[in-house]
Amino acid sequence: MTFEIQKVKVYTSDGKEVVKEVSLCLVKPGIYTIMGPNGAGKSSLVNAIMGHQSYRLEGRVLLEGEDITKLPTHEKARKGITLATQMPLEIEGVRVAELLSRIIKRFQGVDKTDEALRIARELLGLVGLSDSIMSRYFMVGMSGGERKRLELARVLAQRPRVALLDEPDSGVDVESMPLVAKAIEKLREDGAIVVLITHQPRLFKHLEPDHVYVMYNGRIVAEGGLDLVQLIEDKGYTWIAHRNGGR
Amino acid sequence: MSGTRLLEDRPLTELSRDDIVEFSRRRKEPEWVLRRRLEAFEYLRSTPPDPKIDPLIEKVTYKVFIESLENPVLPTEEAIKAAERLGVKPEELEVLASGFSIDVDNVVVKAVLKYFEKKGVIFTSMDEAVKRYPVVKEYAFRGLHPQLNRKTAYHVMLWAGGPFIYVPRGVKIPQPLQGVFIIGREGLGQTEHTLIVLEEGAELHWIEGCTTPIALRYAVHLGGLEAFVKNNAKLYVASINNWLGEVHHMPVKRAIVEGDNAYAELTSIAFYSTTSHTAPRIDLRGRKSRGVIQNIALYRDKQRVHSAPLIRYEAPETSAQILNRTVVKDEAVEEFNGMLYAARGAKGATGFMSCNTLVIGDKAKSITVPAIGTEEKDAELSHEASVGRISYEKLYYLALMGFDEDEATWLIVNGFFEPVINKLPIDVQIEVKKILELALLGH
Repeated sequence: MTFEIQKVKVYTSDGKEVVKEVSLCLVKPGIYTIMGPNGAGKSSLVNAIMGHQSYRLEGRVLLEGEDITKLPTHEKARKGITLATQMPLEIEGVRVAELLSRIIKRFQGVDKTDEALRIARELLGLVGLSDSIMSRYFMVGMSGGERKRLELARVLAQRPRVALLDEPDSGVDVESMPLVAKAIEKLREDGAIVVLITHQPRLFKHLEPDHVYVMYNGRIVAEGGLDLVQLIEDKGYTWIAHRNGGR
Repeated sequence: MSGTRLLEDRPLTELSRDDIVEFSRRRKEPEWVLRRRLEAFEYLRSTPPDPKIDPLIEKVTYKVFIESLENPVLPTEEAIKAAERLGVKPEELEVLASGFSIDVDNVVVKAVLKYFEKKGVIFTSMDEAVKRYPVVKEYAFRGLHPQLNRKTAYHVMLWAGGPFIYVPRGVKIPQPLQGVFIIGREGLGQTEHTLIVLEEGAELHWIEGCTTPIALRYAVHLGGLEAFVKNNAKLYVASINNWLGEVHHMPVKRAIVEGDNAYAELTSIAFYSTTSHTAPRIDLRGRKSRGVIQNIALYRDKQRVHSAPLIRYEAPETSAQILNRTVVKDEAVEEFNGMLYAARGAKGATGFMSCNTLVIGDKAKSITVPAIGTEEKDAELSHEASVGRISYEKLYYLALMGFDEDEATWLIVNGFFEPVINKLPIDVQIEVKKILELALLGH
């Protein structure tokens, strides 16, 4: 399993360069964390990778060596790469059960609705959501924490080879944090490359990343292990960026 | 060749008084039915043509109309197959306590009602009912009377077929009765007349489906439904329309809620017609009576649609709702002019009109002009309207889940309809979703 982004630059629709040049080569399943302050370009990077129309991407995105840079978003998803968005949207009138079972049928090769629903319930249980959420409309009227956990269940349902997670911990209360961590751990166990974006180290009380990158002002400025997270807590992002050449 | 045409070649808009007498005679109708037809004829003669209605009816000739009445194009087996397209399973025809009729080109080819006949329920064809049941004379064409408007007058002058349903006092029919109206040949003006009478405390769900077995080059649907609802009675009507080819849909519908605490609900689910002119109406005449008109529709291609539902309050403490939930796509144009009107005497009337439209594409249009009128100071009537488009963000979000644009649009549209659809009987829900998927995804 390999996931590569080569010399990727990202521009907004008004031409502003928000990611200056980022290259990553991830060759085995694991949790690869990108940390950085607000405005560092983390969300722009993952949304541009997935093909959001607000961004223009230069460089290449490769999945198992195949160039998927220009594929439409849904085809990227079908090839096994998806994104858990920072703010999951409400899909009015579409029940959680219906959406998850459609996803499970497509991505897990399940034919029967009963079986798809059983898997959906299992995934919801994993993220601490009760069966009753199945009959609710997708994301409608749910709290921030419920949304984040449902979004992770949705990503799990897709059995991705690459899961880009954009701040899955934001808006999640302290009690739910272990559940979020458990879902991310499950993705790793299932063999996915997880690119985890966060700007708060609190998630790592429950989860150990395989590698940590620090993104600052559109560039990767540092990388390391959990000790780098401690350094972020002690010194902050700006200090780290300046120590590494002030990039 | 002289300018004189054979009687049979005349358009339906040019029939003479003698033609109408001849038409009624061929059908062996009682005198009172002929009188109503002639009243309609006189009304049409004395009022100017309606540019939206008359040109469409003009294209149908008397010859085609008569031929199809006397020689229905579809045998029973074929009619049942067409009925299946509207979600009616053959086995349902024989289910105990179910009621069912299939009406092809204005001729009832099959009608079934068992268990409830013993309780005095009448479920038969109108052609038969006008001859056999005196109660029909008391109600027929009182709601849809010949002087209501030109469209209704055409319907009364030309009606044929359709069911008569009479539910006696206190009888509640738990399972929906169903009827399917099929236009089986080109140029036919399907003009079925449905008459429903609910006595005190009675309850009925009536589901009617209108379709064509093949794509027609030209056809007009000018069916009618009138209902009378007595004290504490409840009537639910759901009409599903899914026409193929060039079909002009212009039904006339009116429910008169005569009884105190009575209820009538008219639901229309429309998927396709070339043009559509609908103006369903409920009159609330009983104290504390209630009425709901709801329309769920997907308009597409170059459809031209005008809908003007009306609820008229005439008694104290009456309440009503008009709900219009539509999706307009391609180059379709929808005009909506719903109205809630509290007449003198409707003290304390309350009502709400809600119009929500989802527009897909740059060329589709929706023009919504809801209206409210009152002659009573304390009537509380309100409305809200929204017209929206599918956002890119939502399509992107669903694409992250692997749904392409068509699939995502279908999900969003389905979800848009769902809050209204989920209140319909389960059989109707399933079928509506199936037709919706076909309409949007083509498979």
